[in-house]
Amino acid sequence: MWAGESQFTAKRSLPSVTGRPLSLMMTISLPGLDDDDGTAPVCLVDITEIDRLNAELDRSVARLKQVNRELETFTYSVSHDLKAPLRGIDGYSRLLLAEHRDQLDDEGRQFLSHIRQATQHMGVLIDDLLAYSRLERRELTLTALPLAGVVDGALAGLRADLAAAGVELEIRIDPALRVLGDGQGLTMALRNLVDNALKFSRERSPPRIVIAAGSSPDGVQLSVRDNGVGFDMKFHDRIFSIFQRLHRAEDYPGTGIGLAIVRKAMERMGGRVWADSQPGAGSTFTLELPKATS
Amino acid sequence: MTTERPILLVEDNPLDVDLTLRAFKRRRVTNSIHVARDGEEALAWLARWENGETWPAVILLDLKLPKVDGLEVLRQLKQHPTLRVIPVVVLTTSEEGADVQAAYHLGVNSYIVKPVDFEKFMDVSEKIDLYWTVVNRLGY
Repeated sequence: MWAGESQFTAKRSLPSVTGRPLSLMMTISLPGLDDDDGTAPVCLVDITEIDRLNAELDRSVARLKQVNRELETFTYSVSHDLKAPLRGIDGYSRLLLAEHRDQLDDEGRQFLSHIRQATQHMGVLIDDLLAYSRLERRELTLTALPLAGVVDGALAGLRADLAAAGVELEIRIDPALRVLGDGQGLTMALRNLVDNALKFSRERSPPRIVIAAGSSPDGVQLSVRDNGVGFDMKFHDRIFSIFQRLHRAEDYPGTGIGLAIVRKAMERMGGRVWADSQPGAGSTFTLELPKATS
Repeated sequence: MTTERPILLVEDNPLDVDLTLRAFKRRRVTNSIHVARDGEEALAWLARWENGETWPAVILLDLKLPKVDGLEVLRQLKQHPTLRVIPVVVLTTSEEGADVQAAYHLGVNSYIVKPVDFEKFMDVSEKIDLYWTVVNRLGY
C-alpha cells in the first residue's frame, strides 16, 4: 500500500477465541494526498456468515447442475433403450402377419394391425422426445442468419408433403432480412410450424400456407399462417406445453411435442413464439428473434 | 463371378439379430452372415482375418455393445494396417450428433439409423446388401 491509493481491502480467515474459524474483511481507507491528516480509518467486518452462505450456494448450484445433467442423460438413454423392444414388437407383428396370415381370422389380423399402429405411434413419440431432449442438451451457436435461406432449408424436406396435399404455399420474405439466432434451432421450430399448418389445413380446398417476415420494434417477426381449423384462444398457453393436445388422435394424429419444441427452441435463442387464431378461421404462429446488426 | 463374401453383423440384442437375419432372408439376401454378439467377439475376427479367413464384404456395426463398445471396435479396425480397408456401416438406434461425428472421425464408411418400422428396416437391409455386396467395388 502506498500513499495516494485510496482504499485497501483484504480478507483473512483467522482462528477465533471460540475455536470456530472467523472470516474477516478489513478495509483501510487512506486520505487523499492533499488532505493527509495522518489518519487512516480501518474497518473490520465479520463475513463468516456471508462466506458460509456463499459456499452453500456454490454447493447447491453444483448439485443442481449435476442433477440436470443426470436428468438429460436419463431422458436420452430411456428414450433410446425403448426403441429396441419396440422394433421387436413391430417386427414380429409384421412377420406374424406375413408368414402366418392364413392361421389368423379377420379379428386376429385386425388386432395385429392395431398392435402395429400403436407401435408406430410410440416410435414417433420417442423420436419427438429425443428431439426435445436433444434441443435441451445441444450447444447453441448464435449467428447472423439470412432468414430467406433458413426458410428455404427448413422447407426442403417438406416440399413433397406440401405438394402431395395440394398446398398453395406463399413465401414473402425480404432477402436482405437477417436475424440473430441458432440455425438448427430456428430450422427445427419452422419445420414444426409448417408441419402443424399442413396438418390442420389439410382438409381445406385448397390448403393455404403463407410464410411472411418483417421488422418489428423488438427485432424480426416470422409468421406461418394457415387457413385450417384454428383453435380457441383460451387454449393459447396450453398448446405450447409438452404433451398437450386439443384434438382427438383419430382426427389429427400427433404427440403433443411439436409446439413444445418450437417454444423451447425459441426460448433458448432468446426469442419467443405466440399464436393468433379463432376456431374455423385458421391460425397464425409468429416467431420473434433479435435482428442481426452485422 | 467371384465367390460371395460374407457379411459380419455385430449386434448384441438377440431379437435384433433374429430380425436382421429374417429381414435379409425375406429380401432374398444370399450372402452368408456371421454374427458377433459383443465388441470382444467382433475384435476376435481381426485375428481370424489376419490368418487368412475370407474378409467380409461389409461389417454392420451396432454402437451400444457390451464389453467393448462399437466406437472402440471401429477405432481398432480403422487403425489396423491392412484390415482398415474393410467397409464398416454403423447400424444403430442412435441419431445422436456426437455419435455420428465420432463414427465418421474414426473412419466409418456409412452411418445408418435403424428404423423401428420393420417394413422400412427390410428396405434398409436390402439397400445395404445391394450397395455393399453388389454395387460397391472393394479394395481387396
